[in-house]
Amino acid sequence: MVKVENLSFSYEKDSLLLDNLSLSFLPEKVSVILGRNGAGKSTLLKCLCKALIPQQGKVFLHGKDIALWNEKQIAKKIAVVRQESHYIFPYTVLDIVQMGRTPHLNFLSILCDEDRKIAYNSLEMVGMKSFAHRKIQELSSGEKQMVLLARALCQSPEVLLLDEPNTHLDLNNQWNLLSLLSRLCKEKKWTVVAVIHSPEIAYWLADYVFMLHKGKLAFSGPTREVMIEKNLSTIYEMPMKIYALQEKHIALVPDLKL
Amino acid sequence: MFCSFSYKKMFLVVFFLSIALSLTLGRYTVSLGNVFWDIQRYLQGNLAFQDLSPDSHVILIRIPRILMAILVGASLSASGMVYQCLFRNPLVSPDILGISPGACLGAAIAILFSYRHPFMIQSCAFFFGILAVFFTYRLALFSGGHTVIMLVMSGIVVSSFCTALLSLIKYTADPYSQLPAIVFWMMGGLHQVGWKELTFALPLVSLGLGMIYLLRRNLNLLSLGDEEARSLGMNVALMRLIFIVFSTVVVGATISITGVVGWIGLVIPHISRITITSDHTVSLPWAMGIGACFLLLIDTLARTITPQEIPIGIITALIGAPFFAYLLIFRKERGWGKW
Repeated sequence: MVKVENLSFSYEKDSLLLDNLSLSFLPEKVSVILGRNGAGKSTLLKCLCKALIPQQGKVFLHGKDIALWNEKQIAKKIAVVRQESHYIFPYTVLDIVQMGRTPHLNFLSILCDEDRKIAYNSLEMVGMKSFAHRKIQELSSGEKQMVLLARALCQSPEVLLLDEPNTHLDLNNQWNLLSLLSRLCKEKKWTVVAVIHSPEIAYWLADYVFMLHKGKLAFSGPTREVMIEKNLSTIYEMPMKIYALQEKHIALVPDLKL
Repeated sequence: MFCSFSYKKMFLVVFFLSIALSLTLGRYTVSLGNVFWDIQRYLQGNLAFQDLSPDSHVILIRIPRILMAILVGASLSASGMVYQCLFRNPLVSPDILGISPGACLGAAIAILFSYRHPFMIQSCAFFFGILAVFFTYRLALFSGGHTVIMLVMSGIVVSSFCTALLSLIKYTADPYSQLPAIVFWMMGGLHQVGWKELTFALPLVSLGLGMIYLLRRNLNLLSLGDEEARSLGMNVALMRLIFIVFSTVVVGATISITGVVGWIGLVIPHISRITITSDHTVSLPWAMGIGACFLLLIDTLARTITPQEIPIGIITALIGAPFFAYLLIFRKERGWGKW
């Protein structure tokens, strides 16, 4: 379990990007963070993996303060998948996935056969084994995101943080990526925390939703309870209307009288 | 799979052929048989310095020169590869942090103050090269962190300052003796290399190259960028410092003896990546090998094609520039057009 206590972060002295947040993310559950641009979603994610050091407050993983851990100790437990990575050299897919083994290697050691086996298995889990020797630049955005997910798998973490993983993907690829993520969360007993822009996708994917508004935690709880018109209208600062489509799907439209 | 047996075999053939050519060709052509005969006599202690025949200069001149060419080629290629990963820029060469202008300045100061002993020029060049990189790193830290962009900017500042001072020294130097000496030093060459120079460079280069080789896996991560490398468990600031220190030592130790040798640090890493693989655990040792071979052949060319030895900096640029242009065109077909 990831627990955040009284977390505050700011780049400048007077404007707090995150203001005294306290929340918990549960294992085997997908938690989604929603909010407007600049609400502090990505900043929170960066604080969760110590990419940013908060001015106040603490992040605990299984009751241990991650501020006391070094990069390697954190990477053994927490994997991060970003929107898209930029590669300056034409690595193969296998090269990229194998980099996920880094936290499990000693300072001077190089990859062994066991690491390669884990990398191949990770690629197989995301259905990309046949791409292992393809150059990463030759892949589509959707395929690249699958590779990053495979790298996270290769890292063997307990917590997976995703920062808008579906932003550049078409509907089909979004569906493939997120349904795989949902399945892996249960299989691997991961604590998944994702920043996602689309409330419709969050409704379908998330077990728990955390809504940020101007750096503060506005609403949080089980998806069905929290994702209601009133809450969504508050965090997006515009009237919203929810139309239920199927059991796990909604359509969200602005309720504007033009 | 990338370093298949045939690749390795081909490399070893070219490498030993280059050594054989370099041993036998030059001002005096020496047969391989005589080379081995001299080496055997030397090892048995039967070759005294006073009874050196024209053939025996193999021991005193050619062998240290060959070893130095191997060291310089491997060093420049390895540090070029390191810096390209560190700065996430495929067009970076080892002098980005100001080591070459610093070393040139050091050598020019030594020449200006008439320290004609080669060892003084080398020591000064080495010291000033290291000093330039130190100032670059401190300036980057002082101006808000050791991010890649701050290092590049600081490198530009320090390089420009060193180049300006170098120009000042050139301007004030005696145009008949000191100025040609400075210019000739800057063109690069292995003409001054003997066992003494080799013993100065060998421990430093071995240590630096050894550490770079052992840490080569981390180059892959560094090339992804700070944030991603950190999330994969790397202490980016520490690793960057380690690579900068060892690359600087390696390059400083070699260019302080040979002068500035351009193009190798830029081109050879790309040749290694294109022909072998981008995975630096594999391509780094290959770059070192290819660089060593390349410089050995260039040096043999430099002292055989004309009666007067040509500075190797000229030949590396003459061969390196068109070859790099060829690679840029060839690269498109190998997925390199999407940097």
